[in-house]
Amino acid sequence: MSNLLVSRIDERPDFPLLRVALEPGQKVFAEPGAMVTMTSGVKLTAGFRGGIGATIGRALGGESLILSTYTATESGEVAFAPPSLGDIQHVRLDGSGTVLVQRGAFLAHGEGVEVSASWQGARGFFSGQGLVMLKASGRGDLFFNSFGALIPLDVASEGLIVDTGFIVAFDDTVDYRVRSLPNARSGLFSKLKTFFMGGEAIVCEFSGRGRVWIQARQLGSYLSWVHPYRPVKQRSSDD
Amino acid sequence: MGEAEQFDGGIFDASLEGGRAAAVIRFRTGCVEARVASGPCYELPYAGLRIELGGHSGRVVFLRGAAEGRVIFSEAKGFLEAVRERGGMTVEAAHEAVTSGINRDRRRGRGLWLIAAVVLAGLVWLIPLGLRAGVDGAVASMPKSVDAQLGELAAMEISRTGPTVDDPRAAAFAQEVVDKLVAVLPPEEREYAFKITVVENAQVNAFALPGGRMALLTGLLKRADNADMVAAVIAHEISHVTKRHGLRHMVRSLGVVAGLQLLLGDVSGVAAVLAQGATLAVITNYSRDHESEADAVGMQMLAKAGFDPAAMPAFFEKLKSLDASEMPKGLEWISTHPDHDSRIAALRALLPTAERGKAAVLKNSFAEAKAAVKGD
Repeated sequence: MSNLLVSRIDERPDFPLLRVALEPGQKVFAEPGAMVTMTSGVKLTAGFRGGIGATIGRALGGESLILSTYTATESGEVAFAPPSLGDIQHVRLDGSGTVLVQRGAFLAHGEGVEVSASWQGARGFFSGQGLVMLKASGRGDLFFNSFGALIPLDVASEGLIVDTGFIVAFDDTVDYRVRSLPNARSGLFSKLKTFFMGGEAIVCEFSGRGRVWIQARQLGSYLSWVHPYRPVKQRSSDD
Repeated sequence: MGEAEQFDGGIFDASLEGGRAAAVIRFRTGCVEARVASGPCYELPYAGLRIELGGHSGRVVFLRGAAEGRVIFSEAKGFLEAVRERGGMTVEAAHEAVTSGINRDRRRGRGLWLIAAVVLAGLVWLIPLGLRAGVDGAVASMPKSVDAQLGELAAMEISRTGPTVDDPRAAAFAQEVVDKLVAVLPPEEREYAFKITVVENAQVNAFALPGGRMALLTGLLKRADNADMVAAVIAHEISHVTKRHGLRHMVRSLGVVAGLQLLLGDVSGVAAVLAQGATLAVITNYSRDHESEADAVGMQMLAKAGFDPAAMPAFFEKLKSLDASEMPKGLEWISTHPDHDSRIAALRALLPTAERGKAAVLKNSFAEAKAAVKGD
């Protein structure tokens, strides 16, 4: 029996469903609530996986404290769906490095993969990545989801600039720093003005060598676009 | 360390599926070798080798060849040293460039840590100051009726101290001293309903509740040498009322919400706390800066009303000299007012600034009031 999972992602790219085939004894770990269907030979248990550190790390990384474990008692299949529309990415970790996943983007992983927290500090705050990202390491399968289509980009020696909010995940062999665009007007005041009034003035610049997964839509911008069309609840005059 | 030393890492190469793979790295003569799990071996010659540090952790060592494309990397401990050791003279310059960069970053890192520590220390110092200013601001914005509300809730504390002394000689004397002192207060501070009750209790003590209700214990009346000393203690207590120390203390210990509840007339929360017997601790266990403020303000009031301001330090001296064994409860008043030596010194220093008004003439006699209360 291998640690590695046989999986398929159907209905891509808008409303994908992750289907994992399990041999007897194989396990897959996922966010609670992500399960859509499973064959009756699969047993579900929930718990704080990976000790206190990993559990708190997951919570800080915008995920649930509890992780659901699906164990196959006989050959079967489990299907998972992420909460939003968008795509699912499968990455097989070979032990040569780890993958950092954006807050909330984690969907599932197989045996042999450990998910822990990675402190991002000030640059995480300013880049909109959040103070903590999730770090997946080990050897095995990792699945994460995006809002909008998922696009893998390779960072080569020339570097890559990504607007904040579009980053889903990246290899730990690349690194990012938060900077203002070089053609943005200089001066602290105009920098602050652009930062608070929007625009692409604050970006993440990746360097090193490896892969960055970006999403084709950003949830915050999408919600701002939807907002004006929302019906407004009228307050009745007699309260 | 010999030929056998190996490190876990990885390799980027265009020929690999997905462009990268995990690899086991060994240092050979003349080149670095990375063997991937599927079998093939990739080499990078030491000549022209570029060494870079990076990755998310900043600790991944990348080895790049002269030609673009192939990169061998590892985050394993001792990898950078092994490159230097095995590569020899050929990689010396490249290694030097990386390590000087590391040292520079370390120095910069230490500088940043120092700045962060200073900022943190500043915040730790500023936050209590800010909280205190917040409490004072919140209290200042509350109407005087809130003080009265709080005083009402704690009023039972007076009867709990002992039976009220009804003898008009004692009661009238005490109230006359209060009235004389209140007469010199600024008009807005005179709005509190100042009322004093003489309570039979051997302790040398007096206390005030928010809103103006006060208690004078017979032990204090017995031990005082003259009316000025009694007036000194009462002036101190009146200052607690006018400076709203009771409300301030309660808001500090129970939170601004408790004050807001009082303001909105919802006394249930505060009443519940007071009912738990925490009354005096919550309301009259003033902090040292409140005591000092009451001393200073009280002395000015005392002098302005025509009493002898020197009676205040003199009374503390007297308390100090009372023999603790002769009168075990005698030092009670001073014990809730700690550090009396420095207090006496501070009061003496304030004496020259106290402007004494026209000498106070009392209709009620101190000697008769003293005689009216039971001795011990």
